[in-house]
Amino acid sequence: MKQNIIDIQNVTKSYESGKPVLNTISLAITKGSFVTIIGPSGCGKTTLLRLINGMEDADSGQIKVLGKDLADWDKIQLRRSIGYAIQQGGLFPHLTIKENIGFVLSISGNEAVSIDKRVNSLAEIMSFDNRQLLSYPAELSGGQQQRAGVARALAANPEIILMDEPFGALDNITRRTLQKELKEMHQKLGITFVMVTHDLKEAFTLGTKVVIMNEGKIEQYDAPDNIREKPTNEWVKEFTME
Amino acid sequence: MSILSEIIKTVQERHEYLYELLVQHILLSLAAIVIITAIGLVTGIGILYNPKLRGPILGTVNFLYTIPSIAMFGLFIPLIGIGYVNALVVLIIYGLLPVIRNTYTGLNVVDPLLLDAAKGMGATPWQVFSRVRWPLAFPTIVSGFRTMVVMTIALAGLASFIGAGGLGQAIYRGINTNNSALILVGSISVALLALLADLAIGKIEKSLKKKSVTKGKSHVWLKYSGLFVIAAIALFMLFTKTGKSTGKEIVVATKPTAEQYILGEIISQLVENNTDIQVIRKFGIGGGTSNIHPAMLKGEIDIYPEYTGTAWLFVLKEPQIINPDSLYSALTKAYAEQFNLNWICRLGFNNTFTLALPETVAQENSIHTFSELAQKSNSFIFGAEFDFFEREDGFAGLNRIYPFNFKNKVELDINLKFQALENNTVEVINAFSTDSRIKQMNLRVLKDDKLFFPAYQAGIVIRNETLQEFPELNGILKGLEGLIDDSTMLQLNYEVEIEKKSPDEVAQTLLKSHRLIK
Repeated sequence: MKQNIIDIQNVTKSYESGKPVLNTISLAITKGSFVTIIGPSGCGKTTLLRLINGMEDADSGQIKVLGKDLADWDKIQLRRSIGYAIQQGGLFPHLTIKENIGFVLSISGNEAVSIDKRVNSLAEIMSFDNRQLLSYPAELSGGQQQRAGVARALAANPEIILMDEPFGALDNITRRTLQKELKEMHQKLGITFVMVTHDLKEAFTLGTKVVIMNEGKIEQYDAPDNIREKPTNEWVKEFTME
Repeated sequence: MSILSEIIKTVQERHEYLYELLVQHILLSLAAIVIITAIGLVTGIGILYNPKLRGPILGTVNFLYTIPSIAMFGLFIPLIGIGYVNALVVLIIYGLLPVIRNTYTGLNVVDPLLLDAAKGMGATPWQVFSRVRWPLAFPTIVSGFRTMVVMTIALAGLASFIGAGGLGQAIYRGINTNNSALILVGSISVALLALLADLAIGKIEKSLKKKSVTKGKSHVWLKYSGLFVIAAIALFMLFTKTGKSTGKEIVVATKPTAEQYILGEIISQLVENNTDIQVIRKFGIGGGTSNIHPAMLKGEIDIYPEYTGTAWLFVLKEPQIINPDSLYSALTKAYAEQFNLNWICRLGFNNTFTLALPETVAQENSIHTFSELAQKSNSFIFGAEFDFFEREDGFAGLNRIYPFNFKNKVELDINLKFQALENNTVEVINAFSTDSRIKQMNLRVLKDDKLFFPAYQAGIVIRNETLQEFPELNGILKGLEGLIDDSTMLQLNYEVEIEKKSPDEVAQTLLKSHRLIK
């Protein structure tokens, strides 16, 4: 049996307003899987994602990442070992694409030469040319920006990559292309991906396993085909039909 | 002579003086800019992280910013006195708003999504600030900095008002000595300085941007280093300046009139040429006696020329003494006892209120005194400014001593009085006895034969402590006793105000002709 690279057990989380965002959630993610999280807005999917790299703290329950309890992790080290990509790439407008991709390596104190080497090899994989590398994010198309965001998340060779609606703002064609690329990359690199999305088709195409969430609870967590064939309840059936 | 050639002549003749003012101006501005930048950045960052302090601090600096600058300079005189420090404090208070506001706003409006992204990638709080928040806020901060620099350089022009020097002194001196070329040279210099500074900051900002593209991550430090270089230069200049001032020196101040500038130069040059004491000139202090006298008591000024009437009536607030000699001896006694200030000597002239009429008219009617004028007054029209007619020590009191019966009395604006005389709207006016226009228009000053107007004899006031420290000053300055009579002072004022000679040149010629300096 494959090892659980992320193990969430009985986690509850609520904000000051009272009602829990996450209600006794458990989720085990095996190494090398591609897990997509989907649900209506406000269901707690982004909060769940942000628990994994310590951007949010749970009120109760236990979270293990890379075999180590979250409480034992130095948060800065934890985040540097996890790739992180957000909507529109979250690229820094004052840095070039090259500097953006090298950001994690740079803040971790790597030598300029080794950063350069890594960025160039990523640029080759993502087919960025030199002119694009020296441009600022605003000078590139949305799709290109997003690919730079993915490249940035990959830069430090993480075992896990978290993505929060990375392709949210893109047009359909660009989106499908990037999804295809991402899928190939996952198969080639064997990295564990956890991705929050609001696009049902994206969740089912990319995910080796899909988490269906509603009102702070996981309704179903299974392979896409199993969910389609055997939805656990009426709500899941309804939701996945859209 | 065209105004342009007058400007060129002014610059040629006074380039040393102007250079000195320029250096003072730059030093004052730079010191203010460095301190403002330091305080402004720290405060701006501080209120970003302390929301409780934000409202009160922004409110306070906003409020201070709305106080008119002249009022602000005046406001601080009782608190910190005149001169460099006061000017610096005022400049700092004004400059803080744009720096604090732009620093805070620039840092605050950075997209939280980007800060979150940086944190999520494992940036430490300092890295989030230095790699993301600060560089994104930087253009806004620089624009606040630019506003502040231009404003500070312009505002430093007002510093001369309180004796802190700078190019404003040329403007102020130009106004007080009726020299429009000097006013223009001063104003243009301030404007050019501000413009150049603005351009330079723009250039530096641009080149930093370019470097950041090619050099990658080091650009943050390049941006900081620009500020550090400016700070280093300013601090270096400050230290060299204070280092120089450890020797023997005295401060000579004057009120803002041409006559006072000349007297100030006479005193300063006499001291400089006969001792090894360095003279710091704080000429043209705004507000005159009301600001100079307190500064004398505080020890910020050592010597200044004063008039007996002003000292007796305005400073001591004593009732009038008619006899000028009795006045002087009462005055010197009171000054020594109450203020520990010494009157060294009287210079010889009396700059008091008088009546004047064209020399030709005076000759035709053989009028020399107020009494003679009173007898023949029914054939003349008298002109004076509005408040002269109002004041008890003006026309009303005068008319009680001398039974004037003018054909007509005309109220005029003080600046139009001489003009009205020239085109015969009026025939007799009131005037100050050493006003250069008396000579320019060839007027006769009449004798106040029944001594109605108080004496305003010019003299030199010095601090007792200064005299004890430099006893040689007593003998040297006594050399000026009785040296300048009414007509001599009138002539000197005429040379400066009408012939546009500089006060130092006029003073030098006088002292040389009496062999008081080589």
